[in-house]
Amino acid sequence: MPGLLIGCDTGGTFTDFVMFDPNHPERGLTTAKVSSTPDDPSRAILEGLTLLAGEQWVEDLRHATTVATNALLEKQVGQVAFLTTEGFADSLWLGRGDRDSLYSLRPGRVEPPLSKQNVWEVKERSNAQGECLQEISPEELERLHNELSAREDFQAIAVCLFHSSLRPDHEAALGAALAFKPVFLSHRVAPGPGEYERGMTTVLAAALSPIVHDYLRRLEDATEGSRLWIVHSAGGLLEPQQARENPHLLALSGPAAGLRGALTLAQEQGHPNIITLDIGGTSSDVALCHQGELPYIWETEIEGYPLRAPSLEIHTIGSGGGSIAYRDAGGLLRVGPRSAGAQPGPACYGRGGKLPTVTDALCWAGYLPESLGSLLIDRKASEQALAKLADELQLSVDETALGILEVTVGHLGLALRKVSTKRGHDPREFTLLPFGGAGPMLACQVADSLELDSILVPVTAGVLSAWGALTAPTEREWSATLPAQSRTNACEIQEHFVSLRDSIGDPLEGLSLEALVARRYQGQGDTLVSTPEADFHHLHQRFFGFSRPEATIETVEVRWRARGVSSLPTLTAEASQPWRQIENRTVLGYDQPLPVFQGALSLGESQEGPFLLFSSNSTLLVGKGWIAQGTDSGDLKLRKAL
Amino acid sequence: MNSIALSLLAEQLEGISQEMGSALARAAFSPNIRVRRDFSCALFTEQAELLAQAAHIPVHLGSMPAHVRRLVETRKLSPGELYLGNDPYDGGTHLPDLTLFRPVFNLDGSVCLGIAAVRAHHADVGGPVPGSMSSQRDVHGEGLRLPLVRLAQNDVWDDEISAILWANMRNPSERQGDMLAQQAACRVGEEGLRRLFSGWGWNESQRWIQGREALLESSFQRAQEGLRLLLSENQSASFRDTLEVPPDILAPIQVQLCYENGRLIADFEGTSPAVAASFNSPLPVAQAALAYVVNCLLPEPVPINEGLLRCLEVRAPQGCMIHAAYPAAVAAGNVETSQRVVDVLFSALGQLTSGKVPASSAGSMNNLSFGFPGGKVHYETSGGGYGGHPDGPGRSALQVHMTNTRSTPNEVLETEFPLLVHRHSLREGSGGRGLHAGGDGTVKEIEFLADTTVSLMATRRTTSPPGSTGGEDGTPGAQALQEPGQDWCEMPGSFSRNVTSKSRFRLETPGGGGWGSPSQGR
Repeated sequence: MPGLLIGCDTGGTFTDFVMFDPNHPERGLTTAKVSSTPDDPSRAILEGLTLLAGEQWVEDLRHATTVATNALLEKQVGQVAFLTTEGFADSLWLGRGDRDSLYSLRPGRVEPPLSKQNVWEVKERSNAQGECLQEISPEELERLHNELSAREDFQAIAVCLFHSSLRPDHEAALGAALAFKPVFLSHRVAPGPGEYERGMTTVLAAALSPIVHDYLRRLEDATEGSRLWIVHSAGGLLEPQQARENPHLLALSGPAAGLRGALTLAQEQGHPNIITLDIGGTSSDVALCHQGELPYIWETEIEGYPLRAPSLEIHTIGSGGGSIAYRDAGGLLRVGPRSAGAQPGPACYGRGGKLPTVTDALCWAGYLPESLGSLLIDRKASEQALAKLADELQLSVDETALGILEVTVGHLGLALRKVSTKRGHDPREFTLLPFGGAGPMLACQVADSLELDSILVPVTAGVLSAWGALTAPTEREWSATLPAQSRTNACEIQEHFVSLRDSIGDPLEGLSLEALVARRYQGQGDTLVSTPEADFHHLHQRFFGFSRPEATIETVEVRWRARGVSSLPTLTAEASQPWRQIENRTVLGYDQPLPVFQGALSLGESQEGPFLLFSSNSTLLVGKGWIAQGTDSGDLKLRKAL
Repeated sequence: MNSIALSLLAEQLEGISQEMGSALARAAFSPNIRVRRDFSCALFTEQAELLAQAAHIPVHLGSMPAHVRRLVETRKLSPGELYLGNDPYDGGTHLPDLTLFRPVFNLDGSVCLGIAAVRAHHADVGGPVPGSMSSQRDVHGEGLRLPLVRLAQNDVWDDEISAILWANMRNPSERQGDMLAQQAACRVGEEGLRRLFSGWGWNESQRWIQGREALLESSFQRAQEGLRLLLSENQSASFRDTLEVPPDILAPIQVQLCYENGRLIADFEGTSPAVAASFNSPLPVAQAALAYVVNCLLPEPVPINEGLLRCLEVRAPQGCMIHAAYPAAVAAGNVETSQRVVDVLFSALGQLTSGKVPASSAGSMNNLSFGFPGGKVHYETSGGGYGGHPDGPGRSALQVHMTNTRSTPNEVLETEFPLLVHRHSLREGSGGRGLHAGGDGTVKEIEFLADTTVSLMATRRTTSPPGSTGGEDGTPGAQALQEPGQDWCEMPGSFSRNVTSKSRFRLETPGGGGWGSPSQGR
């Protein structure tokens, strides 16, 4: 008899769970929330498992973790030794020479997470054609072995030698010579040219390894008998051993699981093109999926560090529920990026906040219920905070509240447009999928501002990342960079595919393999990643607005993506409350009071806007001209009325 | 027009200019544009007022309006056109900065909504030295000079103009690719303005015009308020420094700053007359420097538009080194002269504000270009040390002030060009000592693997980045060349030389000045 399948996501405040019992598919999904335990996140996980599963056997635990993210955020990482080619000991400190702020007179750049005393130069050299110019001598290997083994002040070793992706043998020799500590080799961790990005990613992998190692050991001990999977930054699952060997792949685990969950849900409802909008307290996340494909990127930045790892393009803007509204010296209404955060928070939370925030505008406009969980909403406090700003702007409190919402919708609209045009899409071809506390409140206004005519509101909005973890397939990628002389030669490109396949070995049982190429016009910088069959000129036209049919196309990189299939059957929601109206309430911007509903519409039922829907974790405003339709899963589909 | 509608307009315009920049960087061909992001994207009214400019590279800050003004004054603009220009006496900066202008009309072509402009530094625009960035006696030695020409009509490029362009530039295919990317960025600006005009309730021309004017007025007030918090009325200060001009001239740059009636006026009377080298600059470069310096010091940065520019004025005698007139050579004007203008402005402003202005930074972009047989050209700038600041030490190895371009990774350099980089490191100890020390410069040593033309334009070689308030000066930069079988040979800050394969070149960039007496810290 199969055991329980559980997806779990560790967040800052809560650890979320979604459970599926294959023996009782009719019970649908069971969800749970447990307070997080930041000092040891595995405690909350254990508590949630006990709560949900009791004595039953948990076969699979699929986990989105913040352990790597938080370690980078708090700069609490392991100590590292860094080895690089002679002449380049300072490469991590030089970076790319640009400063982080254009108009600051004390600009900076992120400090590498290691001390300069822990850097060694290696006498060796390869060139850009992959030829060896200076062998790494046995004496050199011995010197490094002796010097490093005499030191105790680091836990892992990172190695980044020039052009190692084209000629890995020198790094491999160092890996063998220094095996007394965990060694991370750049040609394996983050292959491809660019000594700063590859070197820093390798250092981050090494620096994260002791933390990830400890965490996974504790988690495995606590969940003995279950199979553990970890969600990586591109929204696929890794076995714990792969996660230990590649801790840099976990840096964006949580948000990736959320996007994976959103996409799976949307696809089940027949929406392969979605833009997600997650409005949080201090910031909002926007992402785009086209034709059921996650928005993969291969290089990103975290806490100022360059990170070369398959990830998802999730665009964050400094505009959220806590963003503070103010009048600038030129008399204009501005919203954010300063935020009231969780403390003191919006005025209406009654925790001492006095400045008007987006949440206060929502409160005064009538979008918020009387309480959010145990938190009582103080409408009077919102009014006071808004009144002061209204005075300065010489507007009424109502106009000010509506203005704040309008400016916020403007910010969100720009972010949505950015993620669409960046990938060559028209946002009007997409369904908006709002989640997070305030996402569903502003979804209709955002959609109206961009002329979107379809919105999908997930019923699992509160536990989307846990659901994403539960439904994620196993997925891994491998890549190889081609030397300049091979990039236009079809036979050599094919040979690189074959040799990359051979180097992967056999962890591919049950997975399907997909070939990908990163191509560009000769002389260009950015590449476009697609299947080898896709028409490059056509892609270029869509992404960049022009094509050059006469130009030579070069293949810079070949990749294999291995993917399993998610083992879950189509899910039905847990039994939901019936649809019922609970009150009428006055909402700013509407002449008549709006009906307020609770519960879920069944398949076939519909309700015409405008109305409000209060659920346990968010409020949905369905605007004028929109019609909400029930689905078999309990999610709501919103369509523009004809 | 209420403050909410204006706020929406302001943010949408800024968003569009940023979107133009990301379109350009992604699609461009040359490393200088796609990696180093040496470009600017802006939107103008049809009266040549700057509406919004994305923050990409400060040296172009507010330096485009003069060029756009020339366009609207001399041409009758029509839908589907694209104009091109780089003439430094026409509102351009230096010849490699090619600017594309797109007049934007509403869909039926009845209303001109404004102008989208994209300025980008191209890796070569002809002339005797690959890279078009070597010091010459006059502008005719610097490459192809383009008065405003109509590059496209009805969205079709003019074959004859194109033919002239490609015949006069090295690597024409790359030039064309970059210009196509600039055109694509202009289109992004066009679509954005059209969307704003039709989708945001601005669809009456009168309201559109009023809205933009109200927005600029609001930005003007914001900038004025910022200046008021920073300075006191009728204050003035002056400062003088020198710029090293080849062969061995020290040309003075002098400024008198005066804050009156809410405006900051920088008068460069007393600055050297034009020099017979590429270190002159057209006036917009000094205007950009002033806009940059002020935006660094304002309590909150203000949007870069006409509102800010109305608070600032630059005066300089026509024909002096920083108000270049034909035929003064200008290649280094916005890379070297601009940095010294910034130093001079900061030093003068330091007298008017206390505890806000740091010691001088490296003060040079260390412009290095090399060209190989077959037309392959590379141009790069290198950072140095920031000056020590009243609040803490200066950072090392950063692009300072007027540029913020990203360097090309050494592995990529070695992939694309026949060369080997032997060393790239911090130049330890080059920052001036002080209570808060200046940041260090960098050292880079390159071996060329083919016959190469090496060309350098750099300053702060015979003068040092000055320390401030008792801090010591930063170490000047240095450079040396070693030809096969020869000894290392020190070179001047500006030179151009053909060298044979296996030659080595070493560049050491200046450190920043220290702030405060070094003994204070002990």
